[in-house]
Amino acid sequence: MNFRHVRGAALALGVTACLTAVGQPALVSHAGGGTVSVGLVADITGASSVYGVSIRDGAQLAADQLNKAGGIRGNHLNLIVGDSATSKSQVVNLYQQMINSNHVIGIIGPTLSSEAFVVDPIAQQAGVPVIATSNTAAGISKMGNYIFRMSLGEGDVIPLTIKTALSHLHFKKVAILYGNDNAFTIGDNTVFAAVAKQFHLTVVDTETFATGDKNFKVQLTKIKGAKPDAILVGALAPEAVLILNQGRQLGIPTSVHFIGGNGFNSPAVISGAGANAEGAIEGTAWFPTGKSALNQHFISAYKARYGKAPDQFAAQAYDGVNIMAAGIKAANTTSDRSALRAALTKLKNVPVVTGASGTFSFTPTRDAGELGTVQIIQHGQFVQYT
Amino acid sequence: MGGLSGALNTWYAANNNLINDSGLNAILALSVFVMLACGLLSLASPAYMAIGAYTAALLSNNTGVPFPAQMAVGALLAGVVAFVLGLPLLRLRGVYLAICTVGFVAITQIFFNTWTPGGGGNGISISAATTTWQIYLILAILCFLLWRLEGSALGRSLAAIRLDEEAARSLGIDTVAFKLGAFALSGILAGLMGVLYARLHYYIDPSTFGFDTALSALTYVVVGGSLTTLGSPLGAILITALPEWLRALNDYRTVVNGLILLAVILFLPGGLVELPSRLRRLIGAGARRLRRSPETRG
Amino acid sequence: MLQQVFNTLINASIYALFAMGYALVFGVLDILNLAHGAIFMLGAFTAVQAVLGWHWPLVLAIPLGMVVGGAVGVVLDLVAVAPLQARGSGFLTPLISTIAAGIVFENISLGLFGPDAYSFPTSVFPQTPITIGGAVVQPVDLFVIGLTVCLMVGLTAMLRYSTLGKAIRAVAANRLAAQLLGINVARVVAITFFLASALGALAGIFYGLELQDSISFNMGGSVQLRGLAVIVVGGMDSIPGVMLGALALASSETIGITEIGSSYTDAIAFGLLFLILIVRPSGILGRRGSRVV
Repeated sequence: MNFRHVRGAALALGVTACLTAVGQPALVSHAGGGTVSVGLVADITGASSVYGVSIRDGAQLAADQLNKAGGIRGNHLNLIVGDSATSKSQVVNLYQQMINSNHVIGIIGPTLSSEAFVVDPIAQQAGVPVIATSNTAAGISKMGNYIFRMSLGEGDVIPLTIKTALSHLHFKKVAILYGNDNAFTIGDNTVFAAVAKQFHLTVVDTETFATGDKNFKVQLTKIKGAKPDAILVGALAPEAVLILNQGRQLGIPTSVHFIGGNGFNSPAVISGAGANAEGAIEGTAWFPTGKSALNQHFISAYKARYGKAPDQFAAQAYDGVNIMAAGIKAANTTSDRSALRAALTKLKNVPVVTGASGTFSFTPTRDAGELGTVQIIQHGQFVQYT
Repeated sequence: MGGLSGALNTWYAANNNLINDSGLNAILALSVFVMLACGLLSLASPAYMAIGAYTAALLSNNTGVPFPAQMAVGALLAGVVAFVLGLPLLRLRGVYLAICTVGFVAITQIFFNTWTPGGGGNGISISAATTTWQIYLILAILCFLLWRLEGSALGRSLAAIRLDEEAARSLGIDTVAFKLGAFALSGILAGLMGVLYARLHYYIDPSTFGFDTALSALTYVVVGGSLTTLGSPLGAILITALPEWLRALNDYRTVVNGLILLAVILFLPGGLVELPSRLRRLIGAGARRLRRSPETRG
Repeated sequence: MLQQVFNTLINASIYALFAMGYALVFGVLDILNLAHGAIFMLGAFTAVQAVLGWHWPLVLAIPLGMVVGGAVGVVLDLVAVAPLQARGSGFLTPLISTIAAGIVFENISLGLFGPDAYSFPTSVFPQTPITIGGAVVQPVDLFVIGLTVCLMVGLTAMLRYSTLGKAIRAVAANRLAAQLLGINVARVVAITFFLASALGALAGIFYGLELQDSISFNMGGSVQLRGLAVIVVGGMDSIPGVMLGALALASSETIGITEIGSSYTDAIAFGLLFLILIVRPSGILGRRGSRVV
């Protein structure tokens, strides 16, 4: 074998090691006394970028507003944003960099539940508090007492949604369409099936698809043939739009309502599906026309800064930063992670924009202690549905 | 002295995962390399990796089978599957074989998506942990073994098959046996890597074991150098680290990533292992031109 | 059920157009162009940008998309494929080169258009559903199927009867002999890339027309794999083979979903691929033994 290859390899590896040392921290941070650093890990690029971008925007708005109002006990909140590019390895890399190089006091993220299962055990071991703003699968907070979740799980929201829909529509037969390859939409199906049983509904057909699929016509044709009274959909926003459009184009009558979970709660669903979104019912943690002053202020500030309406992910990220800040303030520290953890568990009634009541506390199991609301799309708007 | 070791510790803690992932990707790259070494393009490695990973996950969670045994079982199982896959695929040429391996990966992914003992689409969490030195020790052993293989008669036979299969066969080389052996070895390597992968990350789900991972592995080999063992780990380590170096570029990160790959492919056909010698030749040629006496210089 | 037949035909049309691109390039170069999915995406984006951003009528946006797609294909050839071919790199290095190019294109698109999904406005096509014997069909569906059939027929005729077509077939059969016969091989290859990419771009536009909110930077992914399955099943070097392969794949997907369950669709499609390759290694309509790589 060629020893010149060995030399070449050794040289290149040495360069690599040096570059990793020098190239960090590449995450931009503002130095300067009286700073508390919080990491934000989101999929700003890659397949989940639709969510990651909203999350980043909502979080940065909150951080900037906080800093303009004087920071946290006078300390500047340094929100370090890392793009995990919908890659599990990058999520882990970011956590490790933020924990060990940037010395963050806590982390907000990651975007997907499947990423959380990989990376939160690491945070737990390192004793770093994590607040999840977009994970909705079961088992997130069970990973350890440093892991907190402020996003409402599907298991919390869907039973309420179906119960509300039933009270208006009195349907008996349902079909289920869900994505079978990610924890969020699989969870939707599990909850749908359980709720259907609970309310004695007949499931006439169950169909699946894969994340990233664009063509649902075959599945929808089959569902149409089974003649359900309502269709339960476990999908994220991009697929939800396609399903609504294609379903109506295939001639599924408007008397058959589509009922969905978190994925439906996005302005993108209305803009993407247009008239075909009429009558879609969804359970949500955040109500876009919620009357609270904080919510209205958030919406107008977001619109002014980003030129578009916020969605649920932006709202949850916005709240996530504020909850983290409230914990930091209560713990009266800029670096003590275990004090932050203890403070988070004791938080009571933090003002937030999500949830039905306008205030937030964690449950004893570190999940979201707030209630969802149900809404329906009517005349191109989200309208509260009770 | 304390400052240096402190800095090293911090560097290691902050880059721990990157270092581990690079080592793992190097092993995965070797799995693709052994197939290329005899002229076959196989993109099936993620499927073998999945077999190893799920084996490790189930053994770790449900039995007391120790780590070395898990490796053995995972690697062996994957090797057998690879061998069986190779049997019908050997009569296919080039691109057809490659596409079939892509199909195999898709089928395996769907299998794991619907296989309840493995958690289906929800994935499965594992409690065990691997350490960096374990990964790199195994990588070093594998590199050494493969390097010896490369220089041996066995290795030369494989190279002969790669260069001209008809000629190799007419020289009496049992091409079928060698190619099946390559399949099995490819499976063993990727299965081994899967075991380590599962034990490194606390959670696995089917989305990792797909076409994209296969393409990445292929890129490691080609960029590092597809003609020699050391090319694969080199390519793997550099390309795995590349997104992290480029973080400063923010939005342009992935475009630059692709451009760098393109540049290496276009200008360094032998891969990055050739870079030092290429540079030396360039410099040498330049120096020679300067050294030439004025009379012979035009 | 007739509705499912139409669903199948629409899918088959898009797969066929897309796979033709693979087949053409593979025919003349023995190389798989894995940037084809990105070109599919770029064609769709160009057309949608023309319609939404510059208010062009669809009738002009479609040729624009095809031309842009074709041009990108030629650039791809000149920058990433031809130089490697000249070096005699075999089939692997150009393959990886196209993969890298595809990544670059995808990320340029992500940078230009962001991660969101776009669609053609519903005004470009009349939305009145047409009922044909129990099936509900949109005018755009008939347009897609009809145009695809015409193009396939036209392409077959062009390849068989025109000078260019004969030159392409000559290069595909034996590059060296074609060169000796005076054919400018490099030019023929570039033209083939243009043609192949234009078809791929058209497939992308049809896809965007068919499915609302489907035009996004990563839309090429799923079609790419299916395109591979089509050319393998149908044979890489015959147009009727590509059409047959596309029909076979689309049908197996539909039947898979309706009879067995949507979770297993891809497995069925690839299982079909396996079976066919094991029985007939050159594909259903491929010429036996003519492709040895």
